[in-house]
Amino acid sequence: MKLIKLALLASLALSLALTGGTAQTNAEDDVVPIIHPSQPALTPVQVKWIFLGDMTYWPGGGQIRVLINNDTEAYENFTRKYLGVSARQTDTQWVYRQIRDGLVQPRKVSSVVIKMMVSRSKIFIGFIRRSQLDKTVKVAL
Amino acid sequence: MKIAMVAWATAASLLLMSTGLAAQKKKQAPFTKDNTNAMDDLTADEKKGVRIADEVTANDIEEKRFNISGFVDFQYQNALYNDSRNIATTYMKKNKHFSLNNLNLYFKFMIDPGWDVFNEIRFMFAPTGIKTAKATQNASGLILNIKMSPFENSGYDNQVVAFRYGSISIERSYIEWNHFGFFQVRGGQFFTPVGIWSQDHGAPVVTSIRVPVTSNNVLPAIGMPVSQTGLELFGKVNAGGMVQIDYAAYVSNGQSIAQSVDDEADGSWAVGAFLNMKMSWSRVDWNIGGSGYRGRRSDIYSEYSIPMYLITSGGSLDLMPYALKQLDEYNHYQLDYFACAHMKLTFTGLPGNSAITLQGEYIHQWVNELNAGKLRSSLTLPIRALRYMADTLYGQIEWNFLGIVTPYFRFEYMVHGNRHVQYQMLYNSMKYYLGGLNIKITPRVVFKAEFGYADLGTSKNIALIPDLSGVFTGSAVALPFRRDNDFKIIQASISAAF
Repeated sequence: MKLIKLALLASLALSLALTGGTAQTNAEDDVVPIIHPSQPALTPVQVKWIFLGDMTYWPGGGQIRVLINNDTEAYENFTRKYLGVSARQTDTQWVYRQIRDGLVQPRKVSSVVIKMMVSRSKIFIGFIRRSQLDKTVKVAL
Repeated sequence: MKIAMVAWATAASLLLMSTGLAAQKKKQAPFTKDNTNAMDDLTADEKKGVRIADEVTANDIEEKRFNISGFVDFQYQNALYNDSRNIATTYMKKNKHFSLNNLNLYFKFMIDPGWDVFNEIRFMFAPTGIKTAKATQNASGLILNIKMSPFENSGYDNQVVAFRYGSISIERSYIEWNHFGFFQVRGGQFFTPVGIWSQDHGAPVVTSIRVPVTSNNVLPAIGMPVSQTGLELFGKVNAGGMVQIDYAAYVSNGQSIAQSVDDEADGSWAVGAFLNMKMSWSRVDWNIGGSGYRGRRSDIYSEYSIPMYLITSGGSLDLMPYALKQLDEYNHYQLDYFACAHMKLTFTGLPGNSAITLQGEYIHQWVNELNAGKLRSSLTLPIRALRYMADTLYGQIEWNFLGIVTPYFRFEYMVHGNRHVQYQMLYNSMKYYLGGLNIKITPRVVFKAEFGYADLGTSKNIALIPDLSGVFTGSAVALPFRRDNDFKIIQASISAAF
């Protein structure tokens, strides 16, 4: 009986140790804004303004090119967390900027493309899931 | 039994372990430059995206070099007023009607890094129909009366625009150098940077159908131009990460391009500036600022053989600029000024995923008329110098739900003094109450419905009529009647950005 209990406990402990990674995976599902490693970090307000079209130039100069993730869930999570509005409201804001200032709408591309473009050129900013981070890009905040 | 229990426990553990490993494998590090094996995990679209991204070098600007966009605005309007002599008849049809208010196209060319060319063209026509000119002559051949329809139907911005043959209006057109965000230069025709609404341009983005009185030319003689032709320096400066300063300074001809010819005749200039401080703090977005303008312009006034304005049997005043023998012309100069203060507060993160926006503007405009000079000899006296002014303001509140539905309410007020002898305003003040609903069917398609009530008061003030010699000496004639100038407007519109 003791042996059975030990086996059960060990199995359960081992399983929890592995499946408990699911909790970590949830954290890695979190979306984060990314920029080129050479760009200086931004404040949360600057990130908000950039993705709403209110800020179109990097503090050090040069136009900002915003990339929107075509993962709708990631898009919604990102806008709720960092911009305080929904994805739909963000789209509306870009229509507003297009008509008011002639800004071109941001591209909607996949996370893979976002990471590739941000890593190659410091003019871009986008957002991906935290689990997709690597040394070619850095978190904007 | 013991063996079975152990076997069951082991199988359960293995099942759980495989589930956890599978989940982790799904969240494995995605494709990286060095991890070519991960390409096998990508979908066809993602592989295509990788090939696209590979084409982007560090110096490329991944943008369309030529971009066409714009908006269109379709409207239903029903103006209601009791008195047929109401001054509102000057500006809008009483009967219910549809109209295509705006078809605006934007052409943006990114010609080189840091250099853009931007054009906005509005296609204009008279959706309520064009009245053909019809003249009545007496036995001596003197034209007594001409009926014309000189005004384009007012669009979303309520501009009473002189009809332009060819039906094209260049709203904006400029070349822009914009390498730095904090310092940019544009030359060409640009919107006058004042307040909030002058630059919140376009029917799909403006909350209401009607644009506040602060955004219009209050009086024809008070020259706050909607757009100007000149040179503008502008930019945005980040101060401390939570504050952004927007500024603009310009020198121009002052009036719109349509009137720039007159201004060029005397070489006068207009100068102005705009400043806005934007802050985001604790779920409140602030925009506070001010603007100012000083411009000189010249106009040419003509003197005719008989009074220019006649009261018809119907009690309205008819303008007859083309029916009379011209006696003389005057060069007329004036200095136009305006000073504006604006504010916009947005409270986000409210219950029901809503946001409340409060905004308001106040503009003080005034004009100093300078000496007039005769262009031709005449026995008549020159026009007297006058000074007059106007104050306009509005306050608006809107409550946005889910980014889709926005009820709004606005109060507008306008008062002017010392009416110009040559511009007949039959009311000294106006109050306008407006309430409506804005529904964003999609981010690009907007439906609006609103009800407006204008209180222009009754015409207790007199009209200024020139004497029989055609000189505007300021003599006045009391109108033989009083008008009820209040009116109501029901409007609905659908606008789309593309």
